[in-house]
Amino acid sequence: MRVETRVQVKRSFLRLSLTQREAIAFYLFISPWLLGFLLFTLGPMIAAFLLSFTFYDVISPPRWVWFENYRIMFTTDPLFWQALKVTFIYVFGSVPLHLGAALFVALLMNQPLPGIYFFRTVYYLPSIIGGVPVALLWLWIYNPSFGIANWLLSLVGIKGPQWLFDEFWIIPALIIMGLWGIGGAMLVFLAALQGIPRHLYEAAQLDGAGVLAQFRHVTLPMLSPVIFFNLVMGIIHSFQVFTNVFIMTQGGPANASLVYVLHLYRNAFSYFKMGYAAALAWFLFLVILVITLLIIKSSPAWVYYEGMRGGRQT
Amino acid sequence: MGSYLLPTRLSRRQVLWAGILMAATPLLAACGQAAPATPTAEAVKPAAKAAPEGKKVRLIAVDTGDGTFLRNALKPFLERNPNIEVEIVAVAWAQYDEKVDLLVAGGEAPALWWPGAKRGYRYYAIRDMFPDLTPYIQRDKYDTSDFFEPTWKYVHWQGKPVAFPSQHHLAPYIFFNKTLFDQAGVQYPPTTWEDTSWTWDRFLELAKALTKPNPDPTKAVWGTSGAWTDLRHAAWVWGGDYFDEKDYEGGLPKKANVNRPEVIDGLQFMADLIHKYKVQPSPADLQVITAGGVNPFMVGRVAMAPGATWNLLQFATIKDFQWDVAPLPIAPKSPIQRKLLLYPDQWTFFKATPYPDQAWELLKYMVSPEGMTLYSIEGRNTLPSRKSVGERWVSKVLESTKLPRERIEMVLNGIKYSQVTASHAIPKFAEAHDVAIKPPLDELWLGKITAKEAVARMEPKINEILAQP
Repeated sequence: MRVETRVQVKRSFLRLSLTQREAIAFYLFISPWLLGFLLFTLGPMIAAFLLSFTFYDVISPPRWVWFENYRIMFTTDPLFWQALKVTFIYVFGSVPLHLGAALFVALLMNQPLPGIYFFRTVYYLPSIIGGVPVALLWLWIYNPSFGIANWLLSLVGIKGPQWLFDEFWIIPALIIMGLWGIGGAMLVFLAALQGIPRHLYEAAQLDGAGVLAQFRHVTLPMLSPVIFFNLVMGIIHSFQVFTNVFIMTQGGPANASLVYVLHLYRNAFSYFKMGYAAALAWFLFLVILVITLLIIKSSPAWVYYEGMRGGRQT
Repeated sequence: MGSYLLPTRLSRRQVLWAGILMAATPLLAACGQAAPATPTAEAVKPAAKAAPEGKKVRLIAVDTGDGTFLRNALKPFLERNPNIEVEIVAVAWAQYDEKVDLLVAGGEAPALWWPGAKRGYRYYAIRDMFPDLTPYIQRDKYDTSDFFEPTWKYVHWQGKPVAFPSQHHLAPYIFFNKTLFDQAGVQYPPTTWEDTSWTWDRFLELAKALTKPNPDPTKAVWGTSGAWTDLRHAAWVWGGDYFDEKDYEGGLPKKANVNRPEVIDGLQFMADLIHKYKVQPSPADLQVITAGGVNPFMVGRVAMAPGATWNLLQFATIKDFQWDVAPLPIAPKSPIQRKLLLYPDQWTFFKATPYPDQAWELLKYMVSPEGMTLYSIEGRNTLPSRKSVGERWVSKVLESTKLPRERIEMVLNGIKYSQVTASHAIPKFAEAHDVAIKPPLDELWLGKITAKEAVARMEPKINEILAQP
């Protein structure tokens, strides 16, 4: 391949070097996303940042108030800390569980069994359906007297909780519900599992490694970049949890499921405090950024790339 | 041009990173997008223009839904005013308020507006965006005595009329399943406002006699559904109120007064119907019963359902049993005997609309008996806010429900006992409800706290919100 491209370079009337030509190709290919990002994401992000220093209700001109929105957020908004707390509990409950479940299912789906393609499809299927219909479906599942959740628990002699009507169980209920969508992460894990070279397992077996040791010393390290990816994606998505809560509980009972984005949404589109909502959005962005940076900082210790450990040659 | 523009080789790590970046940004962007880039200050300035000679004047009117009702209602007006053209901007309920804001911010302030979604007219009146109609009323010697008193009073902002009443809803009335009453051998509730034996105690007695418990909530017969038309105002129907009368006129109270016996007793009574007397399904049971959008009264599982005027025509489709409607029971502790909830709608135009004189003509037409009949009765099946049009509504309901005439007149006359809801009169009530009122009420309906505790919890938080600028 390389040889052929070099031949083309010589023919080029612009006399561009290979790297220059590749650079042009790169920017051409990425331009649809780049333009979209600049016009529809970066611009509004900057606008939102500036608006976060104003009081703004859309119909009256924004009023510059410096850090007033941030002061309200940290000192007087009675629901800000509640929303933050609920969201943190959700994130730290759901991300490890979903990651573990996705990996576990991916390991099962990686078995060379007849009909395994069927099961892979079945386990991925729920991820295709999302949003409102799923929320409505889970309303039924969690129904305290009728739902399948409490029926299953009753089979083993447990009287199920009130789920969505219980301040303690509402967040666990939402976390369990999130398992519905592990298909995406599972698929990424599965692809990575298939990419682990057989010879590593063979070598480990020759060294006398059992199934668990192989998993610990071959599978996990080889999967670590994908675990890293799924972890960061999971955290970003979990902090933005919204639809299920919006449809199923509206933040209730007693604000026990008032997630951050619902609080933000209400301020923006129910009370039309756009400036304050923008401040909330930027604070959430910072929270996610800091946590993501911490994970990246920690990654050299546990993420292995082929021939590299945490980005360093070994 | 150099090779620094491009990493020589994309590693897996870099590909993964690109994905992460793409996932992280949409939320922030969504927040910024809600704002037009340059909010126009001139949009709020009145920009009266003389109608250009011989040219059509284009007015913008907003409506929820697909705009059919308004289109039909406007036909006679447009025939009589060939120089006026009305562009109907029809928007779904959920986007209505935002759309109106965008029109205003974009310099196209509507010449015809009604509170079609979450916001009452006072949201804009506070921002001084509606005109004082007094000069127009005086110029045209416009007669306003035909409007129902409470609706006419409500359109005054700081003493000045800034809109005209169009239509309204009233709630709650007690809809009852006559067939269930007959089966239980229980006497029907009184059906006139004058009958003072119709108390909440009597209501409870009937509810107890009519309830037939069953472990399966969908197979039980419930004395009452508790599908209260509007749980935000649960205390009001017992005569309770969080605010004082002057707050409803002023619209901007600095504090609420929730800790009153009629509020606490009222809320406790509503909770007791569920947990103490078990004549009403719990929130969880209700979710089962109403799953799939089922109205528990319409499937015959509820003997007495509090409902609103909009339920009359909905219930007219019931075939499996006989039903009738009774007034709201008498409030036991309030100085006022009954406090029906009044949800008033209006028509008006924005100050900043380009042709206010034509907008005024359009407004007058929409609230005329003709416009009101076409839009509110023919179109939206809603009570008209003019007394002279009330009879047309009665005839229409009579035709479809086959209820006795005096019953429908009783419903129409409910306005005498009504008060505009806090959600309409007090713009900050929506936020106060979400933040301060609903959370403790959730716990009350779940039987976890008493009404006294709920009230103690909500009052300081309501006041915090009301005190904000």
